[in-house]
Amino acid sequence: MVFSSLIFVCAFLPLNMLFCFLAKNNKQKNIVMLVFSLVFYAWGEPIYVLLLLFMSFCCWFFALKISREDSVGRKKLWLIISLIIALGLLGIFKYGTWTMQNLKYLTGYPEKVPAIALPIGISFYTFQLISYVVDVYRDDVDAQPDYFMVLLYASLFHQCIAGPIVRYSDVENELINRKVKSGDFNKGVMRFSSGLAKKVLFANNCGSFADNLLLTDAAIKNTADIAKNIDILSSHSAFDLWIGILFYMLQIYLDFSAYSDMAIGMGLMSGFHYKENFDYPYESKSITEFWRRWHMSLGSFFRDYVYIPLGGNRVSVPRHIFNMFAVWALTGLWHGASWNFVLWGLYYFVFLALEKYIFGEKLKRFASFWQHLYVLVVVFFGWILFKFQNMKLLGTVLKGMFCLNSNSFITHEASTYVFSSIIFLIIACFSCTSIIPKLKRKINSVSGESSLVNTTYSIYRAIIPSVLLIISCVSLVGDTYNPFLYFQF
Amino acid sequence: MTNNKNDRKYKANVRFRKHAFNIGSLIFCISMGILLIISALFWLRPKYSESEKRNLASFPKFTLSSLFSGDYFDGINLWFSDTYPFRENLVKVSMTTKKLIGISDKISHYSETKNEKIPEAESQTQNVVNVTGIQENEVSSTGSKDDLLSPALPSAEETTKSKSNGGKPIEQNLGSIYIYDNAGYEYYNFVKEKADKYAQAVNSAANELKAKNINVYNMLIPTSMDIKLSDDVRKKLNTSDQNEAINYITSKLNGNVKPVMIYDLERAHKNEYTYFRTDHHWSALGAYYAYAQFCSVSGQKYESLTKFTQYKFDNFLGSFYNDSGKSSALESSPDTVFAYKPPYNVSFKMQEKGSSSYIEWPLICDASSYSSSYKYLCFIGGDNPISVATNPSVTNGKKCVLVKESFGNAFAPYLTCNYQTVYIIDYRYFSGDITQFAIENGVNDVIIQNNISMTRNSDLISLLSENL
Repeated sequence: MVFSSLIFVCAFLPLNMLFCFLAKNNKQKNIVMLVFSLVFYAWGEPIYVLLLLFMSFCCWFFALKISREDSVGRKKLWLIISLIIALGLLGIFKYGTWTMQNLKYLTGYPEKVPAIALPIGISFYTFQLISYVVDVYRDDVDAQPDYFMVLLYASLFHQCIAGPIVRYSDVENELINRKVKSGDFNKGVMRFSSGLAKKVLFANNCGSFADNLLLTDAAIKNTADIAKNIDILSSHSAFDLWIGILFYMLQIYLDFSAYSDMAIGMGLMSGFHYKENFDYPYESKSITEFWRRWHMSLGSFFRDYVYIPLGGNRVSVPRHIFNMFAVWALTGLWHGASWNFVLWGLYYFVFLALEKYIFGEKLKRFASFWQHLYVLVVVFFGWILFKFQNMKLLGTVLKGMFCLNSNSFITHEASTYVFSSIIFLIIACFSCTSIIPKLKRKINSVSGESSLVNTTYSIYRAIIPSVLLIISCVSLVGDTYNPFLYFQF
Repeated sequence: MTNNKNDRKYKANVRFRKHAFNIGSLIFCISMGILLIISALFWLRPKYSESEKRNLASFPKFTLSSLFSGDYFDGINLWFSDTYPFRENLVKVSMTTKKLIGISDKISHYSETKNEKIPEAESQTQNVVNVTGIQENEVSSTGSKDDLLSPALPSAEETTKSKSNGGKPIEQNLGSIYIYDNAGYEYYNFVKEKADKYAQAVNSAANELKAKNINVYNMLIPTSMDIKLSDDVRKKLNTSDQNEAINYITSKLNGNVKPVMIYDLERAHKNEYTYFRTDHHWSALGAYYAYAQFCSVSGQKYESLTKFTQYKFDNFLGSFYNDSGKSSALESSPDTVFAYKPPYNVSFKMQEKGSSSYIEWPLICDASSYSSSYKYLCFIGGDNPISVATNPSVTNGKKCVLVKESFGNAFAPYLTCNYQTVYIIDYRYFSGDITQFAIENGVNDVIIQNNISMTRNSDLISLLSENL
């Protein structure tokens, strides 16, 4: 199930809220949440739900072992065993096929590469469980004696399958005892409904533009028809490709941040406070800043569990560069079992290293316009690496963008297609910026003094969540185009 | 004092706002409850979509294997959203929403093609026959559909892509489609090698037939893209010039082939309803002009369209609609199929695909009960390997073979006014030697008719050259 499916919004979520409302105490609420979460997960993965149960069990069990063990060596042993299990499962299910394909390419063996299906959300919940065990090992949190609490933490449907990657310490108290304050609930309602609208109205439509101007994800992954798809792609005008990637750039942010908005919103509605996952990353002035504002829960995971254990930046320059390299190769690989993702991670490694050691300071001396432009251009080309998993397609796109496929720069079709919907493009660009929240804050501060502004704003806030909800549902009726991009990770 | 007052006002405002936020959440929860209740009103769930002309998803059957594979739950998701109560109205509202956020459906679908340069050829333009078509109100007799038979859909049409070509299916998909202002247009890309091969196939058949004193006519039909679009839009599109391509292919034909040039004539009538908007075919009116031109080239008299009986089948959503992923722009303006029944008592029989016996069929049948994508099947029972139309009122003893693809379906009925016997062969499905067939049946004329897109399709050209 996905958050932006009609069955989720019109049946699953209302029922979940109703049952939580009827539950008398926190224990009952937890039972409700756990049952709903397992149903939610099993709905998409009827078999692999067992994997989730098993991995949670191992991490719960070894965390307890660690906490009850006095000897440091034994603690370490249990930690390593639990990491081997969690990362091993992730390795098999996410990278198994890819590793064997590479092996086959290099050694000719194995002859037949088995296709292992990727369980939904495995990258997210594995990381959550790892962070829990490591935190117990580090004595940052107490081990949870109740298996079902660990399972609830890992499987909670708000964030289980597409993040944010929630730390156990952030929700530890709320798992046991949480209260829903009316202010939080109101915020959650607003956050959820605007996230839903962002996904359904903006991300989905940006996606269909990107698909039309480039290729659909299904076509990109279709290795059988690769020649045909290269042919199609190489006939696209350069304008098609530039604007197509711009739409993709908008889609991926709107899509992913909308998912986080909905998760955070639902959390607030049921008493959980998840950390922010996006902070208007396209407004950054350097790549270093971009990665502090994009998918923050993943960045901080790698910082706390890979980068700092490797020594962080308190090491020699070559070692520091190696640390960065390792973190960014892993970050790339986390996004998918394909070389283009590794390349994408290392692409950022290059810019981050350059900013750290070569031009980071110089960059600050430029006017902020140039800083923004630099970030947007780097990120723009990054998304090309990200989207095209096949290197031949990638090459075709890059050449086509500079008219090197003997394609024209612009065609009548392309310009009519894009310019007749230019208003949408502009609105979508604005929705990636912090203009709207800034405006909200401004109105908030003015409305204390002016009754007119206050009344207007109040009426707006009273009706807007339900309006967004209903518009989104209407758009979802019969809508076939509704993928969540971050599902594949 | 003022400070105090301001303070009070401020607090009142904040309190007011807080209430509004609470009310907002309350309305939100109520809305969710309503959505839940509507979801549960299963008897309101539609089973069939009138506008899309399709059965909506049904609730999946439970099996253990579908449960484990996840198909069962996917099926429930699809059923849930596909059959949401009040679906038809909600879909309409959602289209308005799209417009509100700035998305236009002027061009909703397009893709691009690479074209080869067309070698220059001498213009083959012939005198264009001066013919008037018909306006809806000029028809002398509008037929009641009760006069027409409405047999069930020819069984073979259920699966449109049939017959294998040595085990390999015929590639017959439309090329790229351009959708502009609620109408679809098919791109055409000239491929010299294939165009040459087409001309060769026609030439070699003509040489054989000429020896037996049989006339061979070749007619290449332009598609709507080069006929209907205004020049300024058409010029900007990246599609090969069909007039040049037709001229080129015609220049490659030898003296035994008599070309029937219809491009200029169709252009002259471009503002009439000569092509469909949601389908790649021409209309019966577009075909009629081609018939008139053919008569003029072959020295025959063409029948005036006003003598025919007109039938009208609404709500046609053809190949452009289906191949564009059911474009909403096309859906909003379905076509009407007009059919013209000759003023004679023509008998018609056909062999269905995979069958060797003839069945009787109406020349024009009542397609109003056919689903919206099959309305074009009102002409000669659709695409069949071979069909025979006989007009007992014509006593000149003339016979002809029409070698055609589906454009010929709308064209064939007119020929019955001039020939006692018309053999209609769809070369894509016919197995046998068409030239030999013509000789054995002692026909006077062979008309080879193709729309221009066929001349770039290698599978079809090889079929044509094999069968001719």
